[in-house]
Amino acid sequence: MDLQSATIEIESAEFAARVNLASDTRSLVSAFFAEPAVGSLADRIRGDDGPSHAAFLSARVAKLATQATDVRFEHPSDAALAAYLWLLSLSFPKAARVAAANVLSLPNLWWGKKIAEHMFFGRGSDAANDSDAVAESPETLTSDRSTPTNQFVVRGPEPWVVAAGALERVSAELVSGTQPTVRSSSTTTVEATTT
Amino acid sequence: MAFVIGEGGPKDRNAIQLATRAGTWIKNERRLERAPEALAAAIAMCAPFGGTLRSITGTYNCVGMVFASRRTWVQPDELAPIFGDDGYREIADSEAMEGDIVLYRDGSGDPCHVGVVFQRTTDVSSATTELIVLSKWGANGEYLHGRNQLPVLLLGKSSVVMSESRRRF
Repeated sequence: MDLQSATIEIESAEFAARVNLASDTRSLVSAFFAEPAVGSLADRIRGDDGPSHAAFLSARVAKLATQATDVRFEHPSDAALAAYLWLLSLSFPKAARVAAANVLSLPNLWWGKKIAEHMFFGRGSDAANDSDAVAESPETLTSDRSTPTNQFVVRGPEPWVVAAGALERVSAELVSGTQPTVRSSSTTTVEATTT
Repeated sequence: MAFVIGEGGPKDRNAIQLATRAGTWIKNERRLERAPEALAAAIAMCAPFGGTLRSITGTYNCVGMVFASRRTWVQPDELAPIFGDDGYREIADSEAMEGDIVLYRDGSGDPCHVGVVFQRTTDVSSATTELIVLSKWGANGEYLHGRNQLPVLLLGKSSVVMSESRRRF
């Protein structure tokens, strides 16, 4: 599948319908695994020409993030943005975080926001210790959604962080091409369906 | 950028008050509706599975349908405390009744989907029980379907019937 066909597919309403069967990030990643267009882009981004493909995906994220949307509804490219962020995170975590920072200000994202949050907190202290990370040091703590923009809020070890850790392991296995079933650091096991 | 501490928790304005019988908070988040064209695409995608569409909205998922009166999105991770606190137990298919819950598990044994038993039919000649289930397919439609008449992502690897019924006490 060529690059253009893959992006058209990932940005289609049909793709969004299929991956929106998911109820959490683990099943979302499983849904990504089942998508040939995502697999095609994953191969490209891991290939010799990976950096140029990462730049292309970053540009797509930036473009979709600035798209005018009806804020009464979920962003029409929510699923595509989530897929692109996840693809970028496979081999280019810093680029993924830059792209994630782009989408976090959007008010009507669901999966895109979940994956973007993972870029900053999914690896626990890694994000904070990475001097090149896009995320600033935590400055403000808040417990609700009235947080002003440009403030960065610390999250505790919520269950989704555990799930996000598992997400990363699944991603790592996709990159290495090894078995699709992995175990997270907790007692839960994540299965990636590769159909 | 803004992040929320305790997303889906008691202090999250995007969550509704939701707890188990024992008072354990059930994390939840209200999700925006999806655009009409997105919902139309969802109906078209799900049509080949042959379920009967009851309703469609992106604002709640399967767990939200069953345990939050269709008001919010609840991740399947929350099912364990719900079943524990609410007194659910696994029962044999032959004991299933309308209103019981079908729990689908993935290959790791983790919950991946739930639905409500809508109808049970028993084939005496083959001694088998067929269940018609009502469930919400992610952010897509709410369908009446056969127990295994589901997309792979929701079907998982196994399913059991759970009940809190107190017919005997």
